[in-house]
Amino acid sequence: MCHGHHIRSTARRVGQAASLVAVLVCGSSSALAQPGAVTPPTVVHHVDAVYPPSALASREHSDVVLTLTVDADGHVSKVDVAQSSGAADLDEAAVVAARQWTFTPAMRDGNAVASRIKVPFHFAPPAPPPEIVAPTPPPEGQLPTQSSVPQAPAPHSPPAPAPTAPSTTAGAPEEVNVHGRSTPPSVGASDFNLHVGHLADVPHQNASELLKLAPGILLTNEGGEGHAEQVFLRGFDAREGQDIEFTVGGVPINESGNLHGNGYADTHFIIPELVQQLRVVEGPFDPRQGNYAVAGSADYALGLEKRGLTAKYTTGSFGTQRMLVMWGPNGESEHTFAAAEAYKTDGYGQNRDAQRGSAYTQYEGQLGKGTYRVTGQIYTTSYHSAGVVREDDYQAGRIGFYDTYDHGQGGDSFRASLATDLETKVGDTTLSQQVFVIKRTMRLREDFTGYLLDVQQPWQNLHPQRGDLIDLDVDETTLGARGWARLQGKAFDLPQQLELGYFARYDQAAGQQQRLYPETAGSSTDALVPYHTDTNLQSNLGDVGLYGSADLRPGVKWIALRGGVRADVFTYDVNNLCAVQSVDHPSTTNPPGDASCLDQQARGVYREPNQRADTASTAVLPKGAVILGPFDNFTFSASYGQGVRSIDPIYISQDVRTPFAGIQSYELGGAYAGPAGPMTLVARSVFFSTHVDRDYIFDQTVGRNVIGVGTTRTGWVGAVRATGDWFDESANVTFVKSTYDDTHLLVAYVPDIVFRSDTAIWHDLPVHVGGEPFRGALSAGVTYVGQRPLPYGALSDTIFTLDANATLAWTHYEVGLSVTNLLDTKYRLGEYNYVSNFQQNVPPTYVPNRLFAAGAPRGIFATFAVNFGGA
Amino acid sequence: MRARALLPVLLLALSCNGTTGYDLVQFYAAASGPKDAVAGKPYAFDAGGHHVVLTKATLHVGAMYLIQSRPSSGAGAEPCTLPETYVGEVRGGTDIDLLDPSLQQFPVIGDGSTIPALSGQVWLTHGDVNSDQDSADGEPILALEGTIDVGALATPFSASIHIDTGNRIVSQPSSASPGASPICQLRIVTPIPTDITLAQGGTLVLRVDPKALFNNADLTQLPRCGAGLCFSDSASNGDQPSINLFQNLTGAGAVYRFDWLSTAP
Repeated sequence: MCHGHHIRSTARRVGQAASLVAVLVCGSSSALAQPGAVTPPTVVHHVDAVYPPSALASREHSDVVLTLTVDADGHVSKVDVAQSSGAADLDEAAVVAARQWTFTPAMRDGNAVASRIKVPFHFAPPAPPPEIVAPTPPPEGQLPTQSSVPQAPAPHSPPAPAPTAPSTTAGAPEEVNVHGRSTPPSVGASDFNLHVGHLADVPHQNASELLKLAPGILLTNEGGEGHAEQVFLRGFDAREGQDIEFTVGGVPINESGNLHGNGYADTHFIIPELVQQLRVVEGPFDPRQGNYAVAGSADYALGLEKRGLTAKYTTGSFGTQRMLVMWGPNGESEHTFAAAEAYKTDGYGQNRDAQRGSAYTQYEGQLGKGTYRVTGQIYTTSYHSAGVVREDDYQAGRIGFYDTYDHGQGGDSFRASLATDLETKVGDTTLSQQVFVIKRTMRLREDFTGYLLDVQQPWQNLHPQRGDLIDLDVDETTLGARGWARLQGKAFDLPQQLELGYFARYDQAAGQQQRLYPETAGSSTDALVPYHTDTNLQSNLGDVGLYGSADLRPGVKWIALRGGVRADVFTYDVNNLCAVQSVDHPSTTNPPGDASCLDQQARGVYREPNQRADTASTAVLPKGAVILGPFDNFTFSASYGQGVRSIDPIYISQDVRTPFAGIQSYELGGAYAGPAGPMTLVARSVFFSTHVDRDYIFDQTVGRNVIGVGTTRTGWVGAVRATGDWFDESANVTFVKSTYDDTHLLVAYVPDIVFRSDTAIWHDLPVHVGGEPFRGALSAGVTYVGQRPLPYGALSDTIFTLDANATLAWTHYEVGLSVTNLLDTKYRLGEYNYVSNFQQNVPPTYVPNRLFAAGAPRGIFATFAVNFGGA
Repeated sequence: MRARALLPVLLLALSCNGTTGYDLVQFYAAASGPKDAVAGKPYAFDAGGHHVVLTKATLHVGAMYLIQSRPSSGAGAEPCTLPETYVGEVRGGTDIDLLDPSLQQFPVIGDGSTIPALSGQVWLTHGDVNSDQDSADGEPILALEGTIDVGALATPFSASIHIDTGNRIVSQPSSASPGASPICQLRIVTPIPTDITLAQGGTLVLRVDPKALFNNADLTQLPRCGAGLCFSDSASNGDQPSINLFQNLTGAGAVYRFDWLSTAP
């Protein structure tokens, strides 16, 4: 994904261009690029074009001007002929050479960004008589001359032509266009702009797993393939994303009013092959962050680099099949694409089958000086899930490691969204406006406790325990908009930037939770019939946020003060349709019986079953960072931020204000970003501390989060990304300690150590067919999670998994083999200590016991892909 | 040098150094009669002005539970599954010889946590606490045999107490509260005040005092059956000593007491 302004800076062509670029880079004593300004890319490795034999007959001198798109990892992703030589073979020769160049990428505010540069090639025919003269390579880092040079002569090849002198034609300065969308400035060392690049080859089951490129992420899932992942980040159990603000292209993913958890974020609708970049900010340090940015935020940026039509088929373990079709029209931006996916699996073990379909389309067009996008997506899935297993039942052989107690668990989901946005520039001000509409439905059936919760109430008819299978469904509609204006000016002869923005969102959510009779093996007529309603809410929720953010240089060019303040107004209008579930001294003439939602108060006084409540509150959130860059490529930062998480509508009481949890976060960090020999290196070290005044604790008996007490997290993050011509390595480790403020006891389930490594290597192989080489690639992902504290002083097992992938590509074709959990480790992805009673024990069990959700065994998947019509 | 040395110290400090609080434990369970009893010998005491000699006293306990809180008195009937935190459980039954002061071990290991318990429960059941008939074989919960001095005469008596819906639920429930008095409430003795913190490898001991079964009972009103006296096994029979016996058996009064031993039995 390209981020940057449409700016036009001039640079001398060819060797003069390289000199000027070198001056610009070396002449700066600050690692802090001017806001909005871009350091152009510099050549790391170049390949000279070969004068094609087919053009020897004409013996022409000729020029070709190419426009190269250089990715943030320094590779050339696209080559366009800006000015043709007039001869297709010469143009082709230049394109072939240019594709093999590598660069130190363009940098903006210390972050690598994609860029486009123009490079001229001059072709001069070889002069007789043949005489081999070794060409003098250009100085390192400078754009080399574009003259054709001889290849090493083959034994029977014609005499090698002498190299020609580089063209010395003086011409107009070349343009370096850095285009794409404007990006906000970095808010510190925990602001990760993650370009996926070749690491997309590392096996990822879904878009959520790409989050692991950011430090400290652990994902678990006991709810099935259609259920959002439980995310742990820097000491936070963010549940299914309730403590992380998720967006895709700025469109919110968090669901306000979702009964399973306010802020529930299911990213399964995102096709992972479309994810080009992720911006993960670990901490609430950016004034642009809004609701749910407690542990931080994650924004997915989508695009399709490979143009043409790509069809991909995957098959493998557990009866898995996946068909993916992606279309990137030639001549259009990378952000213009269409993709559709169909997927099915039987799952591993019992009750883990799933089916899903997803379609995503986006068009990016030019509108004057700006760009606009229109994005639409539809996603639907149906799945079963296995839930949890008691450790004592497994050890006693009563249930298998991958088995399930309740086959009724599972669900389905649907999401459709439409969004459009426009970004343009007027003078020194960049303007952006986006509107979106989202429709979302979800049904979720989970059984965490077995036969425990259905307690006999006096007003009910006598009944046994009817089972704890929870059936939750939500139906949500979201309308929203966001916009900002970013003004650039100068003071103290240094660039300054001010941004004002807003965010507005309205959610209409209906949520109901019932309990169902179990689906037993004997297929009872009562199977999955609801016998009790726990909750029935209709919510109208509003969130309007305004923010001001500044990026200031107070007279010293290597000091930046960034930050601002954000204010959010939250409004709640909640109608609880099942407000009365118990009654003292019920009426004998109107006995409640087994009804869940009662229409009487104590002593039988009539009332309607519903109760409405509305309230509003405002959160003012200051955020700021000091960024220091006294040395080239090094930055040091100190950041502070307050965040907010709106509270579940079920907790709303009439006119009770502050319906949200408040977060305060601090961090100190350092980062290096720049060349390191033959590679580009980004390394970070961050110390952090975050306090939440009212944290969430998951209560298995109600199947959702409940409000707890305040907590504090303190820790350290280390992250490294090294990218070269043929390798890409990302590794990170996080240490964290999470405690409750009142008792200083550890917060359960939060891992204290998380390590993740993603590695990709690729290279052309010494095998050619039809003049085209085979290209091989290997990739691997390693995860280590330390022991997690469990309730009642227990510790979980550690987790160690290794996933690997190998691909072989030739022209438009690619085959691949992926292995997940290569070591076939039998591991417990989630471990818990709480009360459950799955065996309908007589007498029942009421004390906590260990339960776990099984991680997937080894899976082997083969992939076949073909690309048609790509440039 | 000092800065480099600090990093591993800091990392160690940040690591999982702490606890989430409390621990899960396993423990032994046992029961016994009064300390002044002698195993194999009749047990004599005075009750309500009469001299009672027990020659047989057997109580079946189906399960025991410990609870973090102590429900307040006068709170009304609680559901059989309390909305409280259970901190210990012994999910297996045994017949207790109430005339034997030695520890009689339960056949199962108990599970629990180190959260302090302020009350306990004794479940008087042979199986499912909600079933209409407690024992398919008709086994009683309480079996007593002995003599009562009525005047100068030692008169034999017996008691065979069952807790089934057929003999204990004698009145139709209110239409507004059909579930107000389920049979499980009669089988669960709760709340028994206690103050115990479980620990790994210790022993939870249930002390049962058979004398207290006769508290407030006017034994002169016991009905005759054959050559002796019999305690009634039905709630519909209105004799006062039978009612008192059942209330003492199922009430969290003086009959039951929990003790804790830090060692195995």
